[in-house]
Amino acid sequence: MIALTSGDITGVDELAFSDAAADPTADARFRRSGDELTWRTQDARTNTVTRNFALLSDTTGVPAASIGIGMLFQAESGDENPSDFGALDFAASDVGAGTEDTFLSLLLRIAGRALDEKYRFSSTAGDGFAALFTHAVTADRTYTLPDETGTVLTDTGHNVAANVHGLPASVNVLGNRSASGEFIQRGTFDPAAAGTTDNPVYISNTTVTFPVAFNSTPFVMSGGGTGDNDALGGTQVITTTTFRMIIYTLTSGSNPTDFRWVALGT
Amino acid sequence: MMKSELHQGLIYAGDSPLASTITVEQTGPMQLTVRAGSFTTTGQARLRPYVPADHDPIIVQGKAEKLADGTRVRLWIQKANGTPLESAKTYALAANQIITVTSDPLAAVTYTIDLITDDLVAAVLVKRKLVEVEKYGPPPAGWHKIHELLFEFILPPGTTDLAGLTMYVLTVKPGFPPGTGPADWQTQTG
Repeated sequence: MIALTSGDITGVDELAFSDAAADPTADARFRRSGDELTWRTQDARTNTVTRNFALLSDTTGVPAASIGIGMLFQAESGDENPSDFGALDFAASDVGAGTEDTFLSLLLRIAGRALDEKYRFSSTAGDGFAALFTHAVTADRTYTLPDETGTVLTDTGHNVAANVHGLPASVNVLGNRSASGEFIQRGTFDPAAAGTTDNPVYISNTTVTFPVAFNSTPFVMSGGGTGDNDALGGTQVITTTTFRMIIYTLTSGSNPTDFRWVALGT
Repeated sequence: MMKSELHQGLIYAGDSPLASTITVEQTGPMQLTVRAGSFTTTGQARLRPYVPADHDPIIVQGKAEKLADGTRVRLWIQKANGTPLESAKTYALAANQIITVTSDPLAAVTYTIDLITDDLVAAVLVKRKLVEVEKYGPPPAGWHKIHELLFEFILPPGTTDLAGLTMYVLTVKPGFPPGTGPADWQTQTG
């Protein structure tokens, strides 16, 4: 062992370590153990993180956005030795005094090409990378990814009918322009018996075919017509494919038009 | 003239099992022919997302079936005893049916043609009545209606040729009607 009690070692080309086959034995020692070089430090912490190795790369220039520091990881490939396998870069998106923002880039290779940034973990919104994990939250949030294979919807992906509430394609969601929090109710009832001395009414009936078949008998509500034809509409003989629209009018031979209906079903 | 339009005879099956190959044609001045074919009813069902653990057992029991998209299941609505209220059924009309239409010299009459069944075979039921005078009779005892094939049309007094009349017939197409995508949202169609 060479003991150097103080001062600097300068002008050294290489430092070669023999294999000591054991970790460093004391604080602030650097030792080779097999294929590992271990830098050992020791303190008295119990529940904090220590950063016992630092890389510093300052500059004689003027720092600007994108300045950073990284670490290169190399191994051996079929035709390269050393071969770049990956890199971790920490860079700044803002180097302003008191406004520094930094991000972590993971650089990987594709098809033998040079290392390229594929993932960025940033503290502020970035731009233009394969994946960007960022946040702009004002409090701690928990995001739980589903335990299943699928595609996470984006602000463009969710605007697809097939993705809305699991509805199949070509089903459009009906909105409510008037108020929030409203809902639809439905029911059936037995109307009171018709009188026996009322004025006679004239009845028109037409079988209406639904544009699309229902899977079970729907509820059908008849609306009025657009014309001034003193007529009332009703429905009967409702099936999954058709219903009969009954038009009651006090005017003999009147020809009501544009009667409307709504059906609610599955 | 035979027609089939949305709301009047033309229907898309949507996600239901509805299907029909039975057609009605005018084959003479006062003659209609119902062509042999098959008709599949919708049954009574609810569609739900397919959950294998929940649905596979009842699919085996015939109480449900998977839709073609593989992501949903058709659950037959059950009666109190747990059996399907009405599952889809396919009826076959074995042979063409030729129908002679007759007008009344003095009064208008209406015609409707239904597909009916006694739950063994399918047949055609022609219904005719004098307007505002008669009512259609019920199907023969033991038979019930499956679906209209030709919707009610009025035959004016003394009609000798159907060619000038508009008669709406049932036409079932698979899938959904066109025009339900975003492009159609821009246009008020009704």
